[in-house]
Amino acid sequence: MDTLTPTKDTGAATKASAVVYAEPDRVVTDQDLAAQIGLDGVNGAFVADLLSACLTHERCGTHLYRSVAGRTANPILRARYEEFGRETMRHVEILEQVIVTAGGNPSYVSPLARATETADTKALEATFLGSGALDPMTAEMAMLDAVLLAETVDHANWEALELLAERLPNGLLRDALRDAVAEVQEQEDEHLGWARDMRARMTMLQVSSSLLTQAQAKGEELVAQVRGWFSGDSSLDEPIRRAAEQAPRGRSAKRPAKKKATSKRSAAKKATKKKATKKKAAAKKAVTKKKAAAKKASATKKASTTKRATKKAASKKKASATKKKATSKRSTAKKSAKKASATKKKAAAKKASAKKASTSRKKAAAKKTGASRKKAASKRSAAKKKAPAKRAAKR
Amino acid sequence: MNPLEQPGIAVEDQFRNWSELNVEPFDKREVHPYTRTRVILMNGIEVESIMFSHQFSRHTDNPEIKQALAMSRRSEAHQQKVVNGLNPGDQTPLETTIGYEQVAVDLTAWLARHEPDPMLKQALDFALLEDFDHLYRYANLYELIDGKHAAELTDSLTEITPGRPTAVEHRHPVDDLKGHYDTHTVDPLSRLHVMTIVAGEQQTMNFYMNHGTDWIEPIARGLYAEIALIEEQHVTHYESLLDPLDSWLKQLVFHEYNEVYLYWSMLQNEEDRRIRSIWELHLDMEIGQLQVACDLLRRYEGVEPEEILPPELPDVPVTFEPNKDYVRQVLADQVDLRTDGLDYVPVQTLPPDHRYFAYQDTVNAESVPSEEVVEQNRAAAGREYRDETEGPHPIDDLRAPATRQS
Repeated sequence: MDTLTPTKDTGAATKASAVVYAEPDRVVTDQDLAAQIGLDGVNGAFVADLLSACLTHERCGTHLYRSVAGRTANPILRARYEEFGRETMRHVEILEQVIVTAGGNPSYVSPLARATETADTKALEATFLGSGALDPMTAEMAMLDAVLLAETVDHANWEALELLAERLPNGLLRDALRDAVAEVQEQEDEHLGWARDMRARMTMLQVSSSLLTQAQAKGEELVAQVRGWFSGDSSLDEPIRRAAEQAPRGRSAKRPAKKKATSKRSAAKKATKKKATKKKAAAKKAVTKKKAAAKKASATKKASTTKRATKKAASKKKASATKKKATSKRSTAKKSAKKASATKKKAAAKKASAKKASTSRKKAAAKKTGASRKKAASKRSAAKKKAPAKRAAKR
Repeated sequence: MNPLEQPGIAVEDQFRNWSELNVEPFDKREVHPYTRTRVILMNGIEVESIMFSHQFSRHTDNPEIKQALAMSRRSEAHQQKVVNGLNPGDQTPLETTIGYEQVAVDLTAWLARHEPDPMLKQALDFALLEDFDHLYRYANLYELIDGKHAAELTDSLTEITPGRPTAVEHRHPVDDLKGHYDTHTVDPLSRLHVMTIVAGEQQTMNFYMNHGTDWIEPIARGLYAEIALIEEQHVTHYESLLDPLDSWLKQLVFHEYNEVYLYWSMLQNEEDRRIRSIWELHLDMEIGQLQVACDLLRRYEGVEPEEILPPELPDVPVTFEPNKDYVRQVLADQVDLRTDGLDYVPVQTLPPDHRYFAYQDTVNAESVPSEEVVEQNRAAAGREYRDETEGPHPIDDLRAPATRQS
């Protein structure tokens, strides 16, 4: 099994410094590391430190994906986190193999790796130590931010490893590193591209949707709706759908898959030249466009002033017409109100007569009940009087 | 024993009623001195776990984590009441203090003897000689104020004689800070040793901070103030050995694991059956609390506890036992050591303008209580109090009457 947390049991070693101590047999020096790597013309100690840091980042990435996959409420995000987590775990394995091929120790934790682990630990902690203050959607965004940060660094790491492979002399390490880059880099493109796309989509969805305002009150309900957004459900609200379509896509979505590293570099140079020429042309176009726009603007201003004047007149006419209508409406309303008051008066009179009748009925009933109560009371008093006599007889 | 495979007691089933918490104290005349030291140590361990949990809670608003911390912390607070409640009311603060210093000497010496990392061993040896001297100073205060002999409390299991004189222990704060171990390469036992000694010294510091005003006698108040400040130095010294790379949740797991290890250790050596049953109960409780911490680590950091914990508890339990020969050897070798930044150096190598001497001149400008208490007792009893069971002091000029301060 691959090591996710190096310990003394797994053979961990480190470089001692003024502040970091280790048992003597766990300490490695720059000389040891250079001897392990054994490459001419390359700073072997730094290569070992760099590989350790890249491996540490993959290890922390595996922990991150386990954590967010377990905590996201969104099945679509969870599926992605689990998939990327498995791939990241494979990257751990690949880098461990590269380090072994180089003659190094995969459980060596370099100072650069300590810095990486510190940053990664804090980024992960940021997703849950302060999550009490977050609504479900914001909590999802916080987790996605941690993924985006991690994948950004990861992507840069693999780009650095690609450059390193080109710089290394021919040999086992160079081959191993090239193979590793070839296997991993496309996945890293995908990870970063997905994280950027998803972050942009989630941001724009919230910008466009009034649903967010309900988030605090109806968190669970919102999560259910959000699930729908990502699952491509046909019940998407139209504005949300539009926003999703308008949301900017990540770099990788547009970028075609990479081929060989050498061709890439030359292609990149050409691309930069093309970009530069395109930029110049675009700048010229922009100037001419601006001038044209300024002309148009002045013309439209004039037109707009005349339009405004005509609009004002029209609106005045409309206003007078609506006033007339309103007055006629009011007079009809008054008439109907008079009718209504007359019918109300009649109804009230009816009610009054009905009340009188009911009160007379009630009075009669009360008389009856009063008489019956009196009778019952007289019976009770008679029974009380007889009771002591009865008790005495019993004794 | 692998605590992760033990059932333990679920945290929600750990709360006790008032009569269970209000335990019967031990008899100070009959208790074994090392039972007293076990009680003192485990009280300090519980206090550290409670204060750590409070600190953690102040750094998060995650309701699930806060609630889990609150649950375990309440149980730890119950445990602390039970353990500390074993101290009897007729044991004076000064008698308890002598117990604290016996803990400091025999715990530190035992940890140093079993410490695999030479740097950490050096850190333990260095402070050992200072706590050893505190026992001697308090023993003289005990005789001076109460007319009693500290050996009746220590049962002569720990010698009472000068160590590195307290007066020379005061150093510039910067020189108390040391380098730390690396969390990946550190031996699991070393991690537990450091966590244990930090908790023990912190409890001693807290005790002196709060009990320094229990006396009317100025000499007692002065001595507590002076030694309390050395304990503050020791907490600074020991806590700097911990690797700050560990996350909050990893630290929580390590705290609970250490408590499991220590209650298991106390259980192995306890002769008092009633107190033994308390250690046993608390061991099961700590296993339950460890499970909660591991669940949080798994859920929030995606880390399996097996990745960071050893497969089994260390074979050797932390044991309170006499360390007389060891202490004498360290005393002979290291009494003249001081600290210079991150290093331990002979005092003779420090330049005259070193900040150590400037700080000494400041705090020792007038009378020094730790020297005065011995002088006063010498004047009252006709000699200073010592309990040297293994012969004369290994350092010539620290033989009675001690003639040197530095």
